[in-house]
This record gives sequence, structure tokens and C-alpha cells, in this order.
Amino acid sequence: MTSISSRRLRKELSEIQTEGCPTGITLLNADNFETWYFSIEILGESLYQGEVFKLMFRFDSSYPISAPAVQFVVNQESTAPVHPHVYSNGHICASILGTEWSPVLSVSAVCVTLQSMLASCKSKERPVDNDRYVRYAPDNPKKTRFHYDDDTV
Amino acid sequence: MDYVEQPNSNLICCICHAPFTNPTTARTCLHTFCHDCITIAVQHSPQCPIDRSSLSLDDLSPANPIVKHLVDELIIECPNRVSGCAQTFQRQLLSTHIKDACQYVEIPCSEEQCDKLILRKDVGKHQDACVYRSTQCEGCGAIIKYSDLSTHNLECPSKSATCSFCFEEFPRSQSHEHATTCLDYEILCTQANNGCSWTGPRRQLSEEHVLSCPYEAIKGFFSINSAQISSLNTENAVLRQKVYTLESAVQTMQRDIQTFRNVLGPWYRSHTQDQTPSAPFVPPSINTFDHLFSAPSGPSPSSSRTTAQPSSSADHGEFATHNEIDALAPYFPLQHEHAFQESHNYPRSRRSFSGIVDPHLSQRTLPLTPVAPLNLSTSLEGSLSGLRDSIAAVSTSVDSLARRNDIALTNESMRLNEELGSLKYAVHGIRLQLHRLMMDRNAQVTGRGGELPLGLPGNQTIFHPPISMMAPPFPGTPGTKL
Ligand SMILES: [Zn+2]
Ligand SMILES: [Zn+2]
Ligand SMILES: [Zn+2]
Ligand SMILES: [Zn+2]
Ligand SMILES: [Zn+2]
Ligand SMILES: [Zn+2]
Ligand SMILES: [Zn+2]
Repeated sequence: MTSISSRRLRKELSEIQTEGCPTGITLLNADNFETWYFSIEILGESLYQGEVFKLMFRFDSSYPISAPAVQFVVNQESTAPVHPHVYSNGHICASILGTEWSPVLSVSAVCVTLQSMLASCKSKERPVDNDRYVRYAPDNPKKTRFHYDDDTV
Repeated sequence: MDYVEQPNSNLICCICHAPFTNPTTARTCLHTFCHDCITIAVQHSPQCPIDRSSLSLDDLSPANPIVKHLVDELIIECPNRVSGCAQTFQRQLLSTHIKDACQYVEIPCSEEQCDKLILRKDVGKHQDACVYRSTQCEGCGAIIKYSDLSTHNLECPSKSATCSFCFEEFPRSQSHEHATTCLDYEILCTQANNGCSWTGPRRQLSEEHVLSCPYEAIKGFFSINSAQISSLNTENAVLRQKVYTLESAVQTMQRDIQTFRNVLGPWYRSHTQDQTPSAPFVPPSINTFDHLFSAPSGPSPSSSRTTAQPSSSADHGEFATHNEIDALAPYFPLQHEHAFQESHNYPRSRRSFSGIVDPHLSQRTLPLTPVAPLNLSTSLEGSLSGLRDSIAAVSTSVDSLARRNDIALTNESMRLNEELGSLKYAVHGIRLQLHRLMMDRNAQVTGRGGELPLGLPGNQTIFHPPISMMAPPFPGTPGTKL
């Protein structure tokens, strides 16, 4: 399993390095096969024009059979986008990161999906249960069982 | 695995992103994956990773053979490219290449003891250099390890050896034999055991040295001498054993003597102390009697602690005798005095009306009781016989005391019997008088029956104490006259 995940990640990394990331996505750091960082921005007309966010991918040995843990980085330098499916601690309520994950998906596929999720946003607001969730949220968003109420995501 | 050319994207598994390994197709949706990849994915989530249609392990089957051939014939580079193998070959030949052909695979040395791993291309080189390789001895033809060759050369029986004395050459196997026969071999004189320091070639010993050797001349003496010495040695060993036995016996005895000495305590005196009584053995622990012996020039004033002790100005010579008297004298005179005192006290003890010794009396007699000081300067036997005598005297006096007590007791009880008789008589008289008085009174009471204070039907027993209550005599102190 470990070798499958690291072989697959090595492949993905070499693809990113040879073919480059999708537009608006930049690889910041991929020093190991456990944690990768990307920057993400929404190009064109959107509520997030001019904003740059930072994404963190955490992989375990079951990748790509199970999804990576993906969240926006929240610290002094960067914040999570204000979005009905993004909590203020950076956790994302997106079905492809949970039940809808498929081994066919890849890191760049996830990045593109999140990009389009932000681009299609109509009003910048936090999820309704943001405060309650953030107070009790686990460190790893994969430990949360989100209820995916919005089929558009 | 690195592919020489970028494989066709149709041959790429979308789970591992590499060309299929054991391509496996889902019968339901006809998607193809590596066998291992789709098995793990379906176990995790029973659906096709691509179209999410439901999928179980039973729906999987080997892919079309064409697909299998396409991936198996992809050209790959040798995984040992980093080590130096530049070969490329079809993917399906990988295991054969690694197993047999690749020169850059590390394989263990064929010699069992050698633990080196050698690249296959270097095996031939190593076999000639391996210290554990087998090699044949040129002399004797034995097969030995190369590492043992130098050891073997020293002992190989076929290698020739040169005598360092006669320079004759002969096979090494005969070297021992040669040493015993070589005439030039340097040997010791036959009398070397007896002290001859001569060494020289063997030929000279019999030809020259034996004739001049001073030890050889007295050979006979040496043999006799050595026989004697050996018998003496044997005897010596026996004697040494005996001495050892005796020493241990002496040690045991010394321990016993020490034990006796401890048990005897002050009565232990060495023979010399016995003959000089001016310094008798006085253990420091018995200080009470120190004064008896501490002034040998004359008796100390306190030594006449009993009245019967005759004071004498004893000198050194008489001191031992004086001590004997000192030790034993007190018993007898005091015994008589005590007996006298007892009889003298008898009237008083009789007045005390009991056999119990009056405390005042015993206090008076106590100073006269002989408490013999232990005379440590006498022999133990003397002391024991002295003690025995005094015990005999004490038992005699106890005897006479008991007899006297018997007599006193008999006298006393006779007198008491008399007194008791007269008392009985008097009490009887009183009882008669009292009875008469009570009868008179009863007659008076019954005469005025209607005036009974309690209105009882004329029963007189209320006022009449039972006779039995009056029967015992009044308790009186002994000797009280009625
Ligand atoms: Zn499918
Ligand atoms: Zn695969
Ligand atoms: Zn090779
Ligand atoms: Zn070797
Ligand atoms: Zn040999
Ligand atoms: Zn020789
Ligand atoms: Zn000699």
C-alpha cells in the first residue's frame, strides 16, 4: 500500500513538473509524499478576484484508493475563502473529498474542482454552522462526516 | 520501472497512473485497470473508480490478451541502470534478465564461508581472489582453503626440510626421525639432569665428552643418591601429612582448653599462679571480694566480717591457709550461735501463737546467717566440698528447726484445746440462760394475744431467732479470757 501511494504520487509529481499545473494553481511545496502545498486563485470574473489561497494536501498510505485530506491553510499569511462550503478553519465541505472520491481523481483534479467551486460562488458567506463546527472540528477534515446538501459541489 | 518510450495513454491504469500490470477488465463497464489496483479499490468501495457504477470482485476478469501483450512488450530500462546496466528489454523479460543476465545484480560468493556480495560481472574476478577459494597444495596435492595455505606450507609433509646442523635435505615427514639420528644435531650431555652443562653435536658425545665428563664418572653415585632422595621425599610427604594432622588436633585441643577456661572462669589458674598465692587469679568482674585478697601483707579490717572470723596477722606463707579458714570457718560457729538464738527466742515465738516466724525475729537473726564469700583462691574441688559441707549444715539446722517447731506446735494446740473446752462450757451456760429468758418472754406475748402489733394469728417464730444462729461461739481473739 505504501509503495502504491508513493509510486502514484511520484507519477503525479513528475506529471506536474513536466506538464505544469492547471491555470491559477501553483505547486508551492512537495518535499515528501505526505504533505503538499498549492496556491490557488480564481482567474476571471468572480467574487474572489485578486485573492490567493493556500491549499494543503495530506496523503496517507491508502491514497489514491481513499481521498487525500484537503483544506485551506489558515494562519497569519493566508485565510480560507469566505464560501458557504468552506469553514473559517479551512475545512471544505465537498463530496469529492469524501464519499464521492474516486481513485481516478488526482491532486490536480481536486485543485481544479475547488477552483470551479469558488468561481461559481454567488454570495460570500460562511456555512451556517460555522462557529459550532470550528469549535469542535478535528484537526484532520477527513475525520469529519460532512452532510453534502448541495449537489452542485 | 522506466519505459523507454512514453506508453500509449490507453495502456495507463488510472489508479496507479502506470501501464497496466496484469490488466483486469470489469465485465460490467469494460473499464480496465491493473489487477492489484482495482482489487484494492473495489475492496475499499464497491464501484468502478471511473464511472461509479457498482462493481464487485466477481465482476473482474483478465483483460483482452491483446492488452496484456501490448503492456508486456513495452520496452523498459533495466532497474539496475544506476549501477551500470544499460540494457533495455521487453517488460515481460524483466525477471529473466535480473535472474540470469543482468551483470549488475549482486549475488553472494559461492564459497560458503565468504559473505561478500559481488556484482555478477565480477564473480570470475572474485573467484580468483576470494580468500576462501579452494586450492591444491603443490607438494602433497591436498585440497585446502586459500586462507589456510600459509599454515599448511609449514606442516605439509611433502615439502622438503633442511637440517640446520648437517644441511642434509629430506622430506618434512622425516624431520623428527632425522633429529634423533643426525650426528651433527646439538644435544645435551646424558648427565644434564645431574648438572653437566655441556652441549654439542651428537657425534662428540660418545666419542669425546663421555670420556671427560666428570658427572659421567660418578654415574653410580647419582643413581644411588637419587634413589635415596626419592625415598626421603616419600617419607617427608608422609611426615608432613602427620604434622598436618597433629597441628589440626592441637588446634582442636586449644579450642577445647579455651572453652574450659571460659567455663571455669575465676577457678581457672595456671600452674605457676597456683604456686605463688601472693598473686592469685582474681577476675576483675568479682569486685566484691577483692578486699580479701588485695592486701597480702596483712588482713584487711573488713575481712573479719563475721564474728567467728579470727583475726590473724598472717604473713605471705600463711595466707593460703588463712584463706581456707576464711572461706570455711563461718559455717560452723555461726550454725551453733544461730541454734542458740533460736532456742533463746522460743518463748517469744510461743507468745506469737503461730509457727510463722516473727518478722522481727528473722530480722534479728539475718546478720548471723552465714553467707559464705566465694573463695576464688581455693581449688574448684575445695570450693565444691566447702559448699557441700555448708549445705549439709544448713539441712541439719533446718531439721532441728522443724523438730522444734513440731514440739512448739503440739504444745500450742494442747493449750488451745483446753481453752476451747472451757469456752464451750461457758457458751452452753449462756445459751441455757438465754433460752429460759426467751421462753418467759414468749409466754408473756402469747398471754396478751389480742395485742399483737401486726395482728398476726399468734405465731411466735418472728421473734424467735433460730437456734442454729446462736450455736457458734462468739468469735474471740485467742487468749482472751472469758
Ligand atoms: Zn467502469
Ligand atoms: Zn494500476
Ligand atoms: Zn540489467
Ligand atoms: Zn568470496
Ligand atoms: Zn601440502
Ligand atoms: Zn642433520
Ligand atoms: Zn657431560
